Amino acid sequence: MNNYFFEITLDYIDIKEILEKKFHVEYGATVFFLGKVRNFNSNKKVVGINYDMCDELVLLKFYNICKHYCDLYKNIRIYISHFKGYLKIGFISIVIIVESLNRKNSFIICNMILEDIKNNLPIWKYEHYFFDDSNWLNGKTLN
Amino acid sequence: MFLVMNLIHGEMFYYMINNIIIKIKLYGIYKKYNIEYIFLSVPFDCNIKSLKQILLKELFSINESIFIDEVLNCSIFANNDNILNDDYIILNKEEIFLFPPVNGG
Repeated sequence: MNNYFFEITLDYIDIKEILEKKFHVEYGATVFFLGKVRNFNSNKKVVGINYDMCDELVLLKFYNICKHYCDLYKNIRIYISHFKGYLKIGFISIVIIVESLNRKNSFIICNMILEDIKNNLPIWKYEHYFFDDSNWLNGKTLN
Repeated sequence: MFLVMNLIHGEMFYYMINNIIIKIKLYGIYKKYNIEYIFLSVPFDCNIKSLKQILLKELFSINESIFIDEVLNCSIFANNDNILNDDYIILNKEEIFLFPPVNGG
């Protein structure tokens, strides 16, 4: 059985639904990361963000990330869900959950997965502002 | 007239055997062009480095008011499996992706 789950979702991510999932009693430390749409960026009032991504490569990279950390750390479980489409402020764009035997590994792995996703996955943000304009956000060249 | 037609057909034939068709899928800031794909005819030995020059002209011809030079320099091309480096020779009818700088999460 795989120790990981990942998805691109077009449905809003519901934190209550995630919290109701049965977590595994053999893991003592469960770390959550939730990414939300912020109401301000670059001195502009934000009303929402469109998330664009290359689905094929994002799913391939999710698989590689999960496989890499599960091989490296053995006794862990990973859950990743990333939203695609338009989100209003306050809504959740990404959830990462890492379960492991101790908290140290859970925090470290969760942080590394997040950095990987931010820097190495073909995902883009199109920010919409209160005064009608909108903008594709600057980013980092993939390598 | 016959000579002219022959010359035209000759050029077209030369063009057809020396060029390939590729399909480029656009993402992120390239959506400003309001198109999902660009189809390009490029020389059969075209690599990624040369493709950037051809694509820049094509994008300019689609909308000359968008200044995309800097973004294109920082963009990468990929296929279903890998990021393609500058020396990669593109295959006939290959579909490739054009990725501007990323910022997910």
